[in-house]
Amino acid sequence: MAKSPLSAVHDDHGGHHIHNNSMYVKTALTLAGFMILTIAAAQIDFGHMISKQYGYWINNLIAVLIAVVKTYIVVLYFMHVKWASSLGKLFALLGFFFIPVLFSVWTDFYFRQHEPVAHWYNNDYVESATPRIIGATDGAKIAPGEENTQNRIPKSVW
Amino acid sequence: MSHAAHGDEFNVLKFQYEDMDQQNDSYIVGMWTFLVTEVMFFGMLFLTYSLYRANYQNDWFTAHEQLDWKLGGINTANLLFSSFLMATAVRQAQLKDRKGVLLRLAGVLACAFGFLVIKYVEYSGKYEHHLFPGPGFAPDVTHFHGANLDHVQLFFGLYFAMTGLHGVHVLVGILVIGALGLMWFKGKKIVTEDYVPTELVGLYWHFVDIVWIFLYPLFYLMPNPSVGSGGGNH
Repeated sequence: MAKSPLSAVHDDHGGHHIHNNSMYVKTALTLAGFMILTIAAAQIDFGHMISKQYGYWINNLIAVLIAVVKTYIVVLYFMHVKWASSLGKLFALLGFFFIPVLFSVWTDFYFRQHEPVAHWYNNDYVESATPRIIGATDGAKIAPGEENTQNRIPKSVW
Repeated sequence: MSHAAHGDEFNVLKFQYEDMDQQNDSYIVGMWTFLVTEVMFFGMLFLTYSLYRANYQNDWFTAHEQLDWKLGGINTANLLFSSFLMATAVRQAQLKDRKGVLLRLAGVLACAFGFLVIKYVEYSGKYEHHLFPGPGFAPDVTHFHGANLDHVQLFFGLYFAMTGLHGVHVLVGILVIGALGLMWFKGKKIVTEDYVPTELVGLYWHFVDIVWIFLYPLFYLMPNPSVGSGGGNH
């Protein structure tokens, strides 16, 4: 039987990999460790040690990084991508490649503030999730309880 | 077409494949292609989440205090354990250990049901407090320390959308794992002679676990943006 191009990248033994139970136990314990780490990290305010205003992003970054590492472990060991063919590895990588591509929509979010648009509703102002430069209250931080007027564009502007 | 001539004969290797390696690769790459679409399906929601979270940090932090991180943590551990059971079920499938597979799949199903029970407890609590977004959204304002309730509603909208879509995936997982278990129970050769169908269901279940790995810290473990900046630590 001729070897196919697909199997050419694979080992020649033709069988599949059967791993020891200990590999699965170790993987599960590592993941449990990271789960405890993510809960513990959320109790500590890392960010404000560094920056009073934007420091909490450090906590977000830590939480997401731990999640990425956990995903990497699940994909490699539980999902057997570590032992997959090159084609299998490529397709496993592909899904996670598209996430940063999807998040490039953030550039629209950032640049849209430079593009004042006419109001969508027949009100005195436009309220939008996008922060606007025109009519903004100089980017003042909104305290809890204070009404958010930061994103409003007065009708007089048009 | 010699396979078709003997109708009751079971061939693990389907006629269109050269060998088992090629067949297994095709199956697994096909499953990963499906998972790529799933990543983008959930990715769109994560993108929406990130945009609103960045904009309404204070209000979303206040809203997130309504969620119980302990219940979320139990479900995280629950899915992790079920993922472990699923991975070892695939191993038993490779060893053609029917009883071992059935035991582990039953364990996975029990975890999945447990997950949904905890999710039901959480959802019904939110519903009773009128936190479900829509016309019925009427939360007790004293619980939100003056946060903009539109932003709180947005938080719960995405909470229900994202954990709900994940919950639907758990439900589908129960159906698929149930069907797989039934085939193992009946000793269908399509699963007993070839471990790959079990592996494919496992890949799906691990993906469901991965989505929760992100949902848990993002919804239940938010850092307080106000600490140290005089915004008030609730």
